[in-house]
Amino acid sequence: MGSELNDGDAGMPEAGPPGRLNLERASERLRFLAEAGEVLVSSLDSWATLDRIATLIAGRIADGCSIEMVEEGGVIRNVAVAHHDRSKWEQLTRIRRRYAVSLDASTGLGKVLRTGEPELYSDLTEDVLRRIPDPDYAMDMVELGPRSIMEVPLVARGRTLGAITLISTSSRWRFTEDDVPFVNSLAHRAALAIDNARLFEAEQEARRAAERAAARTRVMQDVTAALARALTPAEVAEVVLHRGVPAVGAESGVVALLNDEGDQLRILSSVGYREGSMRTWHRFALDATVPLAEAVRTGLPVIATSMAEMAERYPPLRGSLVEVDHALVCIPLAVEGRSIGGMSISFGEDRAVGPEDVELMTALAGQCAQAMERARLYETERRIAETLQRSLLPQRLPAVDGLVMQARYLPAGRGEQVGGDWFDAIPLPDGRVGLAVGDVAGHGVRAASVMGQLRHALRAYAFEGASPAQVLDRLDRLVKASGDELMATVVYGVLSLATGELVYALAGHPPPLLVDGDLSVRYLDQARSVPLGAVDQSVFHEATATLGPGGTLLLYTDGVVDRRRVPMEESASRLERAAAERLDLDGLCDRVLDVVFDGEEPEDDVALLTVRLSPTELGPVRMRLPAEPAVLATLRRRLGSFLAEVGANEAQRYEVLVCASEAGANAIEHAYGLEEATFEVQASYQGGQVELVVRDFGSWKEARRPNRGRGLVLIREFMDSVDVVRGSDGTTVRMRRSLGGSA
Amino acid sequence: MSDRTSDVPVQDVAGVAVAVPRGEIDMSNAQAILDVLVAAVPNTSRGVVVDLSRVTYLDSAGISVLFQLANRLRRRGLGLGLALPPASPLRRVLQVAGVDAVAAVHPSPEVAVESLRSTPPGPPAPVGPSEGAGPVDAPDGRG
Repeated sequence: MGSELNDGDAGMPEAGPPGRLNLERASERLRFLAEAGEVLVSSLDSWATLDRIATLIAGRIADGCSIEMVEEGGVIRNVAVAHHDRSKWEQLTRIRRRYAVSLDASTGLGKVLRTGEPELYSDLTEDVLRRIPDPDYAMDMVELGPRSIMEVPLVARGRTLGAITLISTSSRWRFTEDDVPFVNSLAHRAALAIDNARLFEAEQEARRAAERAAARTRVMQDVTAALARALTPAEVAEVVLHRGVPAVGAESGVVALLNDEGDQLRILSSVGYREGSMRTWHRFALDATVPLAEAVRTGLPVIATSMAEMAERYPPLRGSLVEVDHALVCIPLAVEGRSIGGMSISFGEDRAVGPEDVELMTALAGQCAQAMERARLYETERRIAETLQRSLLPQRLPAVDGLVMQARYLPAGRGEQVGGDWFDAIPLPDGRVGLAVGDVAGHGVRAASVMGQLRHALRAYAFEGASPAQVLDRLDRLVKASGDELMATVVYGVLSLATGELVYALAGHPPPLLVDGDLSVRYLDQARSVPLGAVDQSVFHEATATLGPGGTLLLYTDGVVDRRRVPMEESASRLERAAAERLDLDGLCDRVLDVVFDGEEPEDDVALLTVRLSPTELGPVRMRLPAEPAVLATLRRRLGSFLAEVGANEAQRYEVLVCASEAGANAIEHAYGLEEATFEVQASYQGGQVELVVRDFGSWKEARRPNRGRGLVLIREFMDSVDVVRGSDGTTVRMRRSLGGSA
Repeated sequence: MSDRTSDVPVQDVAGVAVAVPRGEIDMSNAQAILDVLVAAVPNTSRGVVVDLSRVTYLDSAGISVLFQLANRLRRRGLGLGLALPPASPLRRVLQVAGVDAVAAVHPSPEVAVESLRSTPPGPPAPVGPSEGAGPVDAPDGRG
């Protein structure tokens, strides 16, 4: 047992004769230990545990108690003080806070903490206390007036965590050697409990850190996944901002890109700012004194922790700082060391920005920069390919008398590049018409340029008079001679307008669909061969079918029927169903695409060519109608069918119907006042021209309708010729309109 | 007939009356539509937009409705705007008839409303040009 209390300097006389702790009966001690045990297991908070132990001790086995713990770096810190007398509690607290304990001390608490052995001062007197070398300490101790002190270490897993000091300031308790094992046992339990609580706390902290790390990883994974679907730079910026800003607990953010000259930053996307508040900063110079420009210039993150700091460092921002701009982090966006722009994240309140935040934002910025570069390249490539594709497709189908044609080309929806689909119609020297639809495997600029070559080669072979199988054979050899690993599918057919006979050949292509006048459908699949460029020895076959009056031929690429999410049978049945509707070709093309895709975007390019024989002659069709305004709608309905049948397109139909209605309105007016008057309309089609004759049997009247003159203006504009003959028995208006170029 | 209705829904959009006629407009229903349009415009309106996007047919009778409406609004110091999708076959008819002289044609009712709102209302015209301003030269006209 030591002879000195506390500091090595504090000389302390030998303790007095041994005494007895007032808890003499073993049963009482056990009860106390049980109670203490309950306290110890009731909490996993080490601080709360220590406080409760000290409180439990004071008044039960000692007058007062203090607990000291050794912290990292050997600092000894008082963590709990208890005394049943409030003034003594204050004195003890003051002493413990004021006088530092050294681990080097040869006696007292320092020694206990160093050696892990208890110290006992059974009988202290004022005399002894006055001999403490530090006079202030001596005075405070005399004032406190301890009569007996026991200091026991808190040891767990071989380490001394701290010590419990029991103090007697009355005659009620005197600590002796006999009491040491009991107090030791209490201290041991307390030490284990504290150790447990600390382990638990460390574990908690580790778990929180792991959770934070996991949350960040999730954000990054989430952003990575979303970025994979972002095709344009603007979409990339939106993904990064909409997911990144909330992930770091920020309010707002912007992504800005450098212009091509590299002297200006343009804001591509922002989140969290009120509409319009970004207008001033839509674009700004790279040398502007603003944080984002600084980050891009220096290539280093710029951090500001308060609005005041921002206003101080960046004067140009003073006028435009808004409620969301308090703390802010700006990170440069760079690809392979080349600066492409920057990202700024703002917080709604002043706050410190930790290294973890900056790390996450830097990771986000890295992702953003990579995706941005990819999106830019993608956009460029897609634009080139689309332009190429458009320039290689026929601008319009040729006007062929006796034939109505309509075509559609749909580029693939999102996520795909343009492909090499094409369609073509070629009037041949012998009066027949070549019809082609093809599909070059692959996507992008290369597929589009190959498509252009094949299309032109096909036109040349066709024009020379080669039969469908010969055309495919030559194309096949052309593809193989190119030396590239190319594949293409083509359907080529030659249609005779006089007989409706179609000679066709397929090279790995989906079979055309033929809809007969009675709306029965069948596939033209008799002349199948392998795709162009597929095998060394290709043989192409031909077959013949007949396109009858009122029948429709549909040539298309596999984008129509070969779909990822729709079974082939379902796609085919949709195609057949839509193709068998009684519509003019314009409407039929739209209907087919509507029904087949059902509101979804095509996954692959789609080319569709529809062909119908139009009569070279039709009519005359005659109608005799009552001379009343309500009949005009009927007139338009019946004339509309006639016009569709001869292949007039939508605009032509509309214009001719306006003219018929205007002439009809005049006829109705002439009959005004006549009982059961009628007028006559006659429509005919010949040599590519529609002729309408509107005849009334009334007498001419003064113009009563103010818009009568306007009607004639429309007729003159929309018709190629107008001829009015007025006689005593009525008026005849004869109008003609050519449907040339109706495709 | 359901597609030649003279029932024209009119809605107030930011102080502008937006009328949406539907179906076909010809001599059988033009006058009725004009009456409905004129009656439906509140005195408090800043102007009228006729949204033609749901009109499937319109000829000189419909053109006349637009001219007369424009004239009546002008006397009240109000403007007329038209909305029509660019691809509509009606567009050529409006062009040929010179409707743009009395009403601007916009691609959507929103744009038309915005345009009317940004144009300060002019003073009421004392006398409008005669209705049906245009060539008076009927197929069977005497002069």
